Amino acid sequence: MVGLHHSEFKNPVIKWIDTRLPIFTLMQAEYGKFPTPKNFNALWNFGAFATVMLVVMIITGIFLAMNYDPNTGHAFDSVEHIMRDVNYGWLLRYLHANGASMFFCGGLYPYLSRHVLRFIQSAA
Amino acid sequence: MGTDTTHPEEHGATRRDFIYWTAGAMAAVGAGAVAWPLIDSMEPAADTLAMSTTEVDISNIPAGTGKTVMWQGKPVFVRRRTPDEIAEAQKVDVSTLRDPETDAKRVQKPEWLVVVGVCTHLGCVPVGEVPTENRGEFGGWFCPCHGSQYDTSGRIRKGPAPKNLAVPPYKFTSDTNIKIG
Repeated sequence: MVGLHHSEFKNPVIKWIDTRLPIFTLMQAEYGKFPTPKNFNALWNFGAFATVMLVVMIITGIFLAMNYDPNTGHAFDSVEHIMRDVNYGWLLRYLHANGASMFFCGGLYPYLSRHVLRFIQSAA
Repeated sequence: MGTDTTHPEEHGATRRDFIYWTAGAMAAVGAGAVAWPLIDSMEPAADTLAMSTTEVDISNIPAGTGKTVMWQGKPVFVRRRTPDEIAEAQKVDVSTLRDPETDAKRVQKPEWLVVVGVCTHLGCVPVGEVPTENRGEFGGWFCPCHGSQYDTSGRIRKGPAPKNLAVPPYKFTSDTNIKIG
């Protein structure tokens, strides 16, 4: 079993996957066991917001790209097509448009202003 | 976590178990609610479905050749078969076919074969509408992508495709017109 991960999980299905690709161990280590200070307040949610919005932007972006036509002659029509004809295309586009604002203003800027400024301060 | 006394393994279900299962169920519902619009967006769009029927004038198709028309964004082959091609399609032993289907089940009038021109392997458009194109060993269509060969009834005979070319719903509105869809 050289090279395979030694999994601690009991569930045989999870253990089988985790032995070969230790994603469950990784999630448990990073989000379950990872020690965090007691005095975290709600402001620390902004890092998680930024992560969630990044994933939302990638997924909606991939699905929008399936119907978008990046050609000066066809781009407008393809956006109309997404908004009117593609099933849930309006939802994908609005999620992507508002998600961009939510990613930067609601997640990334608070996150960066805390961590980058603290890093600059400590490095200075 | 070392002093956790609310989760004794030997005492059956606990409140914490209940919360785990409830949270898991909510996560499953949430994942489904996210997946549904994403998958549904890949289904045919409303403008494609709006083009639900296509009328085809078949009066100027010479025997032995076909005409490609678009129906719901897909190419459809309308082929006028020669008596030889009809005989060939009918004499095949159905039990030897990969996707067994008699010729009679695939046509309404033996002279006219109407099939969706999308290879059942990976969706290329086979060639062979006119005799000058490669029709493969069985005289129907040949798919240039991976070499699937269809006979004069649009049935798969050789190559990687698993199924016969699909027959769309259609009817003859007159002797010279077909309405597909």
